[in-house]
Amino acid sequence: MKSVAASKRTFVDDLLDVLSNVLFPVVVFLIWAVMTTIGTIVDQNQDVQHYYDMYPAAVANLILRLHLDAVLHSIPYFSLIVLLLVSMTVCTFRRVIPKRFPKDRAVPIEAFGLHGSAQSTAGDATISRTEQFLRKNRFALRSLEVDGSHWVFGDKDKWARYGVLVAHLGFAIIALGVFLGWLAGFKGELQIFDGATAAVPQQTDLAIHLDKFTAQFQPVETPNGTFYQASKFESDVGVIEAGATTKTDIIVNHPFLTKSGVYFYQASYGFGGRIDLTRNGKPVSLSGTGRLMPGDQIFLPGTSREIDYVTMLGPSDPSQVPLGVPLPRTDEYAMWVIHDNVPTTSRPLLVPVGKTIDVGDGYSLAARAPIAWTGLTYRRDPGEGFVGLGAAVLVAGFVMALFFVPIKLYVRVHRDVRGFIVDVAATTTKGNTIYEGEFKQLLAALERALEAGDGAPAESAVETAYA
Amino acid sequence: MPDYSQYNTNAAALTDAHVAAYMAWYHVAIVCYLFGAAAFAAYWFFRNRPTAATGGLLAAAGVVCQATSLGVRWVYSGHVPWNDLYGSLSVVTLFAVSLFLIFGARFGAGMWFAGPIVLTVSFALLLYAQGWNKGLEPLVPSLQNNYWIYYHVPVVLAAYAAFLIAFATSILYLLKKGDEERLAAAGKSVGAAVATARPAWLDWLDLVPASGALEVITYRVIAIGEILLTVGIILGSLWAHDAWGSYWQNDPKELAALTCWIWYAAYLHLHTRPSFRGPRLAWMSIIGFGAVLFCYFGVNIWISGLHSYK
Repeated sequence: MKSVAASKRTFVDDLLDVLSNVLFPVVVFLIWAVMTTIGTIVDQNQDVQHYYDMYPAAVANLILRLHLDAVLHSIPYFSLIVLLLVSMTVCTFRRVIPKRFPKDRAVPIEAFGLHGSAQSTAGDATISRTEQFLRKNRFALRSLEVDGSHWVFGDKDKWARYGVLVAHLGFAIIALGVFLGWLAGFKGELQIFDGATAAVPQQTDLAIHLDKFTAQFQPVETPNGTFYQASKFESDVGVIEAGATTKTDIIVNHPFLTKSGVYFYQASYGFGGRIDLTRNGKPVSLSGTGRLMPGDQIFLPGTSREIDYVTMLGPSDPSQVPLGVPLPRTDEYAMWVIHDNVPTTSRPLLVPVGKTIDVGDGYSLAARAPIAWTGLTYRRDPGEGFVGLGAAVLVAGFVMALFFVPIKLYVRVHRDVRGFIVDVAATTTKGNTIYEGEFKQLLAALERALEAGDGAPAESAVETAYA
Repeated sequence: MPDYSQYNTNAAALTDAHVAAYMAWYHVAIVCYLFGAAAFAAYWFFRNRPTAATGGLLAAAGVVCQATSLGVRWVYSGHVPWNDLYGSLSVVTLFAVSLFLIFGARFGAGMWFAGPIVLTVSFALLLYAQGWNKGLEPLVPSLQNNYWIYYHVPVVLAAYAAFLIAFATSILYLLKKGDEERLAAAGKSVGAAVATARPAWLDWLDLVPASGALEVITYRVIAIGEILLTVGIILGSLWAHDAWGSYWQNDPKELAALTCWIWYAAYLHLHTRPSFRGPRLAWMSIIGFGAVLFCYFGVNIWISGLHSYK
């Protein structure tokens, strides 16, 4: 019979068996953990040169050839999560539900790890007293007559058996939310100077105007000198959506949510350098916005000279001043003047705001006050509601599944030459040991409850075996 | 020109006396844990009530001193004291010792044998944390103006503390299990067979709960830790949503916490299989605590990211 049954099994049956086996998700978990650890340790999605700068050549080669530089966004990584979802679904229907909700049926009580017997001296009241006792101990009961024996089936905290299902459901809802966000969401960052307006590329009727950006810093005294720690960033903006403008301020930890569900976050800041360029006393117009950002280059027309802008130092952004270096009294720009591809000085020139310097070939450069810019991240994620719901469901499932111990009791009341005997077996979802002590106490208390009531203690008949 | 008057000079005005005040309580806590560990180690050999009680009292005194130190730091800094590695290490040891005392009260004498492990680790962590104490500093903007800092950090630290307890009970489990197997091999007997089966310094294992009970305790602690870690990660995601514009950034700390979560999820799944309960799961718990240490120290100290608070 067995071989016939085995021969009827198909590949799909075998596959489903593998997927529903608890060892399958465990193996996937472990691979997931290893890949996540690699993604934690190895910088992800960097330039090739970055790895050669960071590691010895052999290690860098290994990272790049094994594609460890992009583990977290790789197909295998996502496949693991898909595999987990598939395994979770199969396991839920093939293993969790049948095993977690055992049917009420006559069972070989002695085969259970937790079992014992209590002899009753209560006579015909044995069944009612047993049921009364179990109800008092918070068991929900059902009864059945099988082959002349009275069976009572009891469940305590049965609802907690749904915990695994609920947790799995939460995980699936989170995955759905992430998928929706990936499918229909967008995000990006806008750099906006004081007084400027920038539109969200993915939603053309949405733009943001920066009225003013404010940065505040606090001096922190250390044994090595003073450094300036940022204490507040605030963007006073007007959000323009479908022609209507809403004035608001955006600070860190307090994003602004538009009516169309787009969040704006305070993400970064900076100061654009501003200079006036003249040649032989005549103004020279600069291309672009006229605001310099670190790394910007200005080629001086008619010469082989260029100006490489480095950064701004000064009280507008004291956090840029290295530890122990006195804070300049006024903002100043650090820049290189390059002639024929060679710097004209051994160190960057520092040009204080309000000063004019000669940069050669008749060119002069006057430093003007810097202008602040704010970096606002924007994001629309239609899946975030599902992620939040899934997270709440997941936690609820975890609490149900991990914190509570559902108990199922099988109780057989039968009669032999000594009188009524009550056999009890118990199962839990977490093994026998966790309920061992309570089961002993339960049996002892049951036996006391089944005493005749005439004051004479019944002879102990509790026999508990523990596998 | 920036407005210099906007600079809050409170930080500069804080003197070393404020730091000395909370460090004094901190140092008393360190001493309490050291002597508490010694008392519990003595309990391994003397196995009498006064020795265990001394260890328990010293541990409790350490908890009170540490809580006071954190409270003083909170008052003087004007913000939560777990804004840096020093403060968070202090909190995690506070939780670990508190959890140990709660479990000790719940499970009785058996748990006290884990005392030397828990208190020695706590002592070492506090000693190490001193080197990261930078005094009183203002909060960086990402830690300001939000209520998540009151929940996310303590919940995650409580999860770490639970995994530390599980680490200790797993070590006890392995010792006890080995002892039980030695005794079984020696003929499940007493007297000479027992005497030759194990070294005298392990006699204290007689009083340790059976390996099955220790396995249940470990499971329960890990279950609590996993729930706390799940809640902590979710709270952190909500905070990240407000602060950085996305609930998940693939930041090293997030990834390392996810690794811990995955590892303990694997533990809980394996625990559903009776054949896997036992030493293998105990080793998983021990290795899992290694992952927690990496998440805590490795990421904060060696890997730069959005969570590099030192």
